[in-house]
Amino acid sequence: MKSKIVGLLIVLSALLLQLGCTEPFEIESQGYESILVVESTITNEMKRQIVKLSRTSPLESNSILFEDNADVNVVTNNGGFFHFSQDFETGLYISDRPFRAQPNVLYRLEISTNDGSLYRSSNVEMLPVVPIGELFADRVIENSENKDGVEVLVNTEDPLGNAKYFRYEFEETYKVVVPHPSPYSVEITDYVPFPESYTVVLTPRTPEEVCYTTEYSTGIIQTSTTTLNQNKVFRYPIKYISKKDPKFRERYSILVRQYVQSVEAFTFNKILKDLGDSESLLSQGQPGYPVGNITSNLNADEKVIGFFEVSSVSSRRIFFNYEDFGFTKPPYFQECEVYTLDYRKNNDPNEREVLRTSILYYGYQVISGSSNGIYKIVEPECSVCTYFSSNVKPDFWED
Amino acid sequence: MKKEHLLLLLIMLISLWKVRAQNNQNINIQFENTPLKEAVLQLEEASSFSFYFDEDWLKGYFVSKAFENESITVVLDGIFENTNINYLVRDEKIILVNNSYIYTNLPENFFNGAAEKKTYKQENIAPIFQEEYTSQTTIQHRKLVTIGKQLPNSANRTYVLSGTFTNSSTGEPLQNLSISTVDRSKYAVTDSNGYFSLRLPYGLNKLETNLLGFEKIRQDVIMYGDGEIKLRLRENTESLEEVVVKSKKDVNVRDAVVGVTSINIESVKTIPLVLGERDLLKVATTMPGIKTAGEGSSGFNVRGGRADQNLILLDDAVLYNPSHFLGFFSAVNPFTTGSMQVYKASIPAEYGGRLSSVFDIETKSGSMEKFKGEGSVGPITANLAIEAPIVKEKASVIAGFRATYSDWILRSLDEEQLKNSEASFYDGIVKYKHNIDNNNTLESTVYFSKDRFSITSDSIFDYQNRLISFKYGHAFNEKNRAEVLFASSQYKYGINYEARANKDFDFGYELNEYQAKFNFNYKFSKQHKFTYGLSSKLYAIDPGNISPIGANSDVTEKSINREKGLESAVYFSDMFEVNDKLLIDIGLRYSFYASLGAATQNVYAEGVPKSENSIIEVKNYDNNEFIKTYGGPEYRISARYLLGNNFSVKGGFNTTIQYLHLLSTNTTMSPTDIWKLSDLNVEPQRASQYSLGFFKNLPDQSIELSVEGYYKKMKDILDYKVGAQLILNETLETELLQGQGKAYGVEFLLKKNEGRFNGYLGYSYSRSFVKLDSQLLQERVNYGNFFPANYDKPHDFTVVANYKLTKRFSFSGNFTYQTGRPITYPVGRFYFAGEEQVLYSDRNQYRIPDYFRLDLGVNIEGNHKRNKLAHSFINISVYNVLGRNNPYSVFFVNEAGQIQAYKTSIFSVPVPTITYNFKF
Repeated sequence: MKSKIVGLLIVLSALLLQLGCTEPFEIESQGYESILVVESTITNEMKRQIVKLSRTSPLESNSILFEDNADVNVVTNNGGFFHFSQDFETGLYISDRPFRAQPNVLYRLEISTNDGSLYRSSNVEMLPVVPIGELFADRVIENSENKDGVEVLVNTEDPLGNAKYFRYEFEETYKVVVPHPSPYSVEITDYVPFPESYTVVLTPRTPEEVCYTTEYSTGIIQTSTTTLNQNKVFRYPIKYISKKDPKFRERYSILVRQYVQSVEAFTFNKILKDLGDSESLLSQGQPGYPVGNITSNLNADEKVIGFFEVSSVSSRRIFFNYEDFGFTKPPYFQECEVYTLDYRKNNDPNEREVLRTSILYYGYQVISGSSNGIYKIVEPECSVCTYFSSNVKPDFWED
Repeated sequence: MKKEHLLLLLIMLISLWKVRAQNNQNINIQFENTPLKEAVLQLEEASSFSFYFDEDWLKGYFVSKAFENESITVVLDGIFENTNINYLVRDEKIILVNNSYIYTNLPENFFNGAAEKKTYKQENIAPIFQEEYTSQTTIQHRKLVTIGKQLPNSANRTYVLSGTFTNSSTGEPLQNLSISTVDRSKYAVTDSNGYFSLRLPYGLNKLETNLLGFEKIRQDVIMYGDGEIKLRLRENTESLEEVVVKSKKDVNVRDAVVGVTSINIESVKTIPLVLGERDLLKVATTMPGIKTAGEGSSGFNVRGGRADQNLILLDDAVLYNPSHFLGFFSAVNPFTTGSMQVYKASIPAEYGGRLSSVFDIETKSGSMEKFKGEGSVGPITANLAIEAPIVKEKASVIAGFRATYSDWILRSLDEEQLKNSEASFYDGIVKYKHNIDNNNTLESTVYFSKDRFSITSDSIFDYQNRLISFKYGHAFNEKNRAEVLFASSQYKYGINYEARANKDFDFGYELNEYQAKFNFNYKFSKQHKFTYGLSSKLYAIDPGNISPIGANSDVTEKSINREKGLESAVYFSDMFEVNDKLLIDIGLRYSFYASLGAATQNVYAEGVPKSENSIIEVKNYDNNEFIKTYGGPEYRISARYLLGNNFSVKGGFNTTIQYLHLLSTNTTMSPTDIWKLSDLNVEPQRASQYSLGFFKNLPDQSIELSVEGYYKKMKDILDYKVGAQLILNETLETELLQGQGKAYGVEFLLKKNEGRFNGYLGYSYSRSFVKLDSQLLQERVNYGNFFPANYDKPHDFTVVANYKLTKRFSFSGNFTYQTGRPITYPVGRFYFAGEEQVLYSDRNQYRIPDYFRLDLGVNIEGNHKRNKLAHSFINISVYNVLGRNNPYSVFFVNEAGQIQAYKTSIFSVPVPTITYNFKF
């Protein structure tokens, strides 16, 4: 009897501990709302400016729904008028002619959608230009977060104290040098399936050995100056690169663009960012609808997500590589195993068949071949950089 | 020698035989817990008398008394004291009668109307120990009492009957006892000294008393003049088996107070338990108008108010966190608790500082007569309470201690994950009471509670409450009384994070409150009763400090400056009985708050969202310098109008101001929340409430009915910006929003207090809304319109029922249905800044599924053998019999660009519990 009671106690206590039991579940769409999403930052760069229009999609769907056939214009308080036309390839709306944002001018975005709804942003003024300060990379080690590598940091200062909110975007460009360049293009001819036989034709070519990959930042990276007396962004981390990151293997460059934001834009972005970050087990933060600066002309209560920003932008680029920090050379993007296959072996193992399928179906590249039928092959990513990158050397590139 | 003699009795009465009492015979006899019948038979043996009686009358009574050389009448008076037995001595016969008083001669004024009546003072001492769990007839009829002398030409039509009621077993005065004429046209309630006074018409009056947990008596009184009566009441132990969550009977109809819920600890005994814990505060949430956000959340939402708007008082000291283990258990020991009053609308003028309610929890006074104890053993906790007299009839102490043994259980588990977990709590309370003399009393309570648990393996979380209160009561005279109160409360919590890495830290938060209060009562006249006083509270809050643990920790030491505030109030209220039907309670409280230095405060620019960047000035204040003062009058007005004997209408208007706010990023209350004082940037919250109620009693069926409605407006209630960081934030005000609230509702309550089948049924329809509007779009929520508050649950239906099968077995059930609380739900996805984002609905636009739960329990009393060491009962309960998976919260996380939904539910399976309770 006594042991039974103890057993009961244990069961009950186990239950107690599972009180705060949290389990994932499938979200059921409670009522999908199709809402216009507007994303646009007009800058002080002379270029064809961009407005992105899309719609919210149901929770179950993963596709991006572009808002097509809208009439998009930016008007200014001094009579300026810029029409945007949709580029059907990207879905973006691009200004018909290049223009740049001017100081002391109010800009307004006006959208007329295909279904007849009218939207407009509030009048937005460009904030003063604050050139991006120092951009530099620093060694960082943080065991608790498993960080060991390099952090790209920014310092910026507005001596006038007008600009307090900064948003950053970056483009990272890195050089790729393949470990096993292939001097041949390969072709298989005279194929007879049974018994299997074919000819491997190797044509010499200039190997695609060096490429440059450019990647764009995603997500919201922003900060504000922190103290009252100093309008300074100090050592704000833009990007962390692990010392084992293959991007780092040859030469790495990062361009950081600094947008001076209004407090409204900053707050809007902050809310968006926080909404995706809420993580808690027993309690829950308060989610909600992020209020932007775009409203419907017809129905003031219609939700529109988005922010029309006019921002001064400045940018800076730096280059570095692993040696600058005394790291050992990072590994390549993937394991590159070179297989040596003998055409003559057509039975147990049937290397002849493996050779053919590897080249034909998996795109393996031949590094070397010989008349006696022995070939060295490797995966294309290890041999031809254009397979995943571009062999066009960017104009800005400094070796 | 039994029933047949009843006839004889009648004949005797009719023929008015003259009695010659046989006083010459002296008797020596001794009884030690002897059944009364046995005692009578022994007495018969020891004397020359023969007794005539019905033995049914004597059942259930015991005598412990010794008589030495006493006359028969002294002996008889002695053994029949505290019973309903009257006797008549006639020659060698003694005739016993139940309830009736036998007139041996006609009243002296029967023929000439001129004779004097002696003043009769009934003074019962209680030598008879009645068996605790015997069923008594609910209403005890007492002997007729005549008051005053009859004067031949009395001009007065009415006389004042005054007197005191005391508990027959402890000798303590009985407060809040109602005494009324049977037709309820005249009515009085005893004060804290058990004292009452009642104006009655000349001649025969039939009175009855009512106090929860005590026997009811019917007392016939003939009023010939002003006089005094002293009565002792036995505890009505039968109520142990009943659910008697009730306002004191009639008080609900008669009081001027509207919106009050009174919960007696006895009532909680048979309600099905969760994990073996009897929980007064949980029971409170089954009453209309009091809600929680969900199981396992520690706050209460009273009539649409936020969780921080309740003043929870334990023996007059504020209890900041009334729960254990994140709200699964209440921190108040059920065995030491006497009663709890919840004021939802008419908050007495003496209380203030919170907008929505006052939970006034009072600890029992220890028995002044004998050593007693009560205990329970449940699956999670063990609880023991003892009462002991220190100075007999003068001073006593009650102490309760409760602790978990879950840690021991956890360690003995095989499950690796649970083995390293920790979850424990304990609490202890000691109350001392000293009746120095008739005019001076002293009470003091010390309370401590502590919780300690780990949610993750590397962090330990603990919090504790500490209360001390000291109360001295003095009666200057019949009309004037004073109370001096000193109380201090402390609430603190800490988080200890040790992952053996460079982020190890120790975090602490501490709040201290010191209060002094002087309260006076003055019975100015029959019509006017004044209560007035002043109180002052000093707050000192250390909102957080963090320090590194170990040499490797990179955490920098940081501490947020102490906040100080002084909250004072003067108050005055008049209970004005305009006439028999109309009673008005007019209260006015003027509260004044000063935020005190030393501190630095930020001044923010107008027209832009408050942020670190909109600070335009930093002000420094010296120690105790006034930073900012707030204050204002608070009106506490309520009135009752009788529409009939058992029917009344009541209305009230109440305003309240709150200077201390609870900040929480969570939708529910949690122990890491921060209490923050009003300061330069945080306005006090203000509320006003209108309420109206109809109260009807059906005494024949012991049924009480009430319908109450209210409308409440709130100003400057706190809310937060999305993603607010509250802990260790030096510019906390930048995360806060202050908005309006409104709440309204109708509450129905039907209670059946007595009988085999009893219980109550409550339903409320109530709404609560918040409006956060601003010129700044970013500080606006839901377009600046009113939206449902997090705890807005329109429909709330509860039934608590008990059925007593036999004396030993009773069954109880509890069913609750509530509308699911509002949440903000994802309604779509979109891409922004190159990432997938979630689109949420308007705030609180959707609701989690409705909540319902059925609990069942059975109570088994131990056997009723007399000479047992302890009385015991076993409670077996099943919580959530239907196994309903009631989600408590739902939340969404952006995991690597994908939205994942999580839900937390508590007790999604039936939870059986067995608890053993004993009493000695």
